Amino acid sequence: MTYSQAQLEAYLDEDLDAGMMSNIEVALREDTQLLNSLSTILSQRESGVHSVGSVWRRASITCPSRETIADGLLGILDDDYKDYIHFHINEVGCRLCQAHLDDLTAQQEVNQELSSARRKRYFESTAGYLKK
Amino acid sequence: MANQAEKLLIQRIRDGQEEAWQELIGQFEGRLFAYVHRRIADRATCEDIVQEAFMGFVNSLPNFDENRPLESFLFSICSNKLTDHLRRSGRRPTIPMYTTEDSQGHRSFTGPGRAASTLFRSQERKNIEVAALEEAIREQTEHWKSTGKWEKLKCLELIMVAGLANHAVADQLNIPQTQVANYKFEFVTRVRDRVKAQNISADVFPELANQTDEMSDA
Repeated sequence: MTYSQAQLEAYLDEDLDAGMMSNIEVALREDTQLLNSLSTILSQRESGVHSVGSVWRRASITCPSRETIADGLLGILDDDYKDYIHFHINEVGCRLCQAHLDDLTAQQEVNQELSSARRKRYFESTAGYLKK
Repeated sequence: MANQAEKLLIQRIRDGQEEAWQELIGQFEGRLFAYVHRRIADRATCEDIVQEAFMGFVNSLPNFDENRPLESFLFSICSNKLTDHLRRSGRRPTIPMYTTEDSQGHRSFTGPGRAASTLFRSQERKNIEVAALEEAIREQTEHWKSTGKWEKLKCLELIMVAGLANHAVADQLNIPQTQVANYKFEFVTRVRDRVKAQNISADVFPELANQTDEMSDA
């Protein structure tokens, strides 16, 4: 498989989707041409060449805020924006936004567990007072 | 740029307030852990890496540049710690740079893709170039967002950020390849003109300089 310059730039910045990062790591064990391509990019960077993708990613130019991602989880965004955020996280594979989403989802699950435990406790402590 | 609340938090941490440090950890540890966990399955290892990142932050606190968002700074430290771990564990090879030295011992970086020796400039100059490019991209993408041009935004993000070829973008968005080329042409032209207006040469941004070649691909 061949990788584009932008994908290799993202690999060097540890910004590429985790699956593709692993694929490149495996390929690098045998593919000296791939290693040379990465060396070239590093050299270009050192000499002061900038790539649009790196600048775009590093500055999180199109990343939604954490609050917006949370709103998306709650289902309170308009459809177009919700669709875009899904695209940005899953199709572009933005690692930073994936981290926010994973963290928020984990928090939500913990909250649901706590909430479920609370409900059970409330129920158990009050059910006995119901009229028989 | 770090916002006012972040600046205050940093100041409190610099003053040695433990509760401020606890607050920062509470605010950021979950997302940093999630970032690392996408790459490393073992939770204990992920926790060690995040801990190293926080240590790295404490050590670099005297030099923290408040012009930079706190989250971005923390993620970059965490990314470096993750990369270090992957190198140590043999998963990620070290990438050498092409370097040569002249008779006076000056190093130059001469990859086969570009004769770059003429591009050496001060770090300050490079920062100005990056800031100009960032502003130009932001202006364009914000315009598309505010006018609901989601297809254009997706198209350029797939090309520039995800690094897909025009035909792959066309397939993914289910639009003609000529449309992809047109969107790209429009973006590159506007961003390049915006950057040039600030007296910055497009030569340091190869993707903006090679527009004619890219159009012929479509």
